[in-house]
Amino acid sequence: MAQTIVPFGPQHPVLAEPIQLELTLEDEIVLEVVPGLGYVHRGIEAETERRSYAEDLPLLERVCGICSVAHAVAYAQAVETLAEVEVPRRARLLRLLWFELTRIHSHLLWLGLAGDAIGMEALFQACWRVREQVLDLFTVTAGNRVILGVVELGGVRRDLPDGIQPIVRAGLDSVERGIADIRTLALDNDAVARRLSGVGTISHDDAVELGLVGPTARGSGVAIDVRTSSYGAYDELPTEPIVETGGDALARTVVRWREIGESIRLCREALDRLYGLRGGLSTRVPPVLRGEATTRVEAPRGELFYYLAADGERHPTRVRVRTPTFANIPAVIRMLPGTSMASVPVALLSIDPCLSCTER
Amino acid sequence: MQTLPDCRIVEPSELLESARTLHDEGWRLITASCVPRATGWTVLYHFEHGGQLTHLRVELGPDGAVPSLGSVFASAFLVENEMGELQGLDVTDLAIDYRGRLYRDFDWPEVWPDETAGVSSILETAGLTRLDACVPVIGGEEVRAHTTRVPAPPTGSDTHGQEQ
Repeated sequence: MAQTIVPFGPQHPVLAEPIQLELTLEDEIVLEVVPGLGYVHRGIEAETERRSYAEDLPLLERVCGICSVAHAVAYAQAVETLAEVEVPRRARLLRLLWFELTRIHSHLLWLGLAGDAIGMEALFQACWRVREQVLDLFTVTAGNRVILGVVELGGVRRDLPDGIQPIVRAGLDSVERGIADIRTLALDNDAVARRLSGVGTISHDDAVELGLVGPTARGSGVAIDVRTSSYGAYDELPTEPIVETGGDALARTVVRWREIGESIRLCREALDRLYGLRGGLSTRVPPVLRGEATTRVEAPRGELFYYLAADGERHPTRVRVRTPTFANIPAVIRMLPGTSMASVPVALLSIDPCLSCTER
Repeated sequence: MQTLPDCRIVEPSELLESARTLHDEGWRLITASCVPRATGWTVLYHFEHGGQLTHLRVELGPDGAVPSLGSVFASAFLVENEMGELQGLDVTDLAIDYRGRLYRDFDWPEVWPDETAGVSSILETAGLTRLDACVPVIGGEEVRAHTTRVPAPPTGSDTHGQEQ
């Protein structure tokens, strides 16, 4: 049978950001895929080499609008490692709180987009309605909805007074109730399960071989989660990787769903520890650094890796950012062959691709 | 001065074998970092296993090159193409070679002649078209030729930023 080559994207209804997949089809079945990137490359890594360490922080926060806190924390940790400074406990707990709130809103955003991709507008609307409550918590605690600007080198720049805690706790309760209400639309819905089950399957061995990260890897039974390395405040608030073994889009959905509940737990425990805790918010970081450092954090989509090289100047020599989607794109090449054309959007979306992150 | 713990210096000729050894021991390639220097490049390959990190460091002179790790780590092709494109590093034997167009930043002046300035584009000078420039090469052969949608070149006064 004749083969057809179809360019999927860079503009497509299911894609919030541009990527092109050049698909080789036989009838309706994908035989091969080659990804094409570069539509939102901004040269952020190169730009960091012309700014001071402190000025790089707000720039790197803007690598991604959804997980801006992850980039800020990862970069700050790399600088703090180079400077050999210790972040105050209160700051580490506050970073964890904003980080886990980010994970909740990112997973809800993704679940809504997945609902939209499978033609279920009600799920999209329900998820984004609950997500809006998380953004309200950002507004209350940080003053911003998306790019929070709360992290600074050596700590955080905003505190969370004890008097605000009841508002945050009530917000978390509301988010939890909202998620419970969505469950009948999402996980308990046969239509959703049928549409996601068996789509974009990645075996455990493939996930290991390709070096996949985050919910994409955990949905294939790979227990990988950087939080288990106890960075930041995760040493006193440990968490275990949430793993499913199905390897398909449904398994990845279940992983993200369960992680929302775990993140709510971590937020509450962080609030418990913050209540009445005295101490500073930041440690001074010198403006000139020398050496090399790497750091990893568990962003909503998986492991976020930073490499920082400094040659004794007021700006870094090199900042290398390896985002989770960059690590997960090879999964697309492996999982799409054998998939029907109609399932390509769902399969692609199931790795929660973030192209702005990937291309920087 | 802070340095990377567990970082080993290897020669380019030893890189592939060192990577294969790490792979066989269960290490995962996180990514590679390329640092352009005045006299060449420093390339670091970062690996993880059981929460521990290890690194391979390669120091290259101005004419240096590194072999692709694609035969050992299937996911290496993206970062290797990126290092070639953004840092100018020569990576040989790439499994998927985007030929410097992994990032498809199609700016008009770069691709098509700027008649007002009287200069030709880099691609045109090299005898390439916009379409050629974004066709990946796999196994030495071009793939996907004539499938990428290419807008028509501007004509007459309808040039970028100078619409009448």
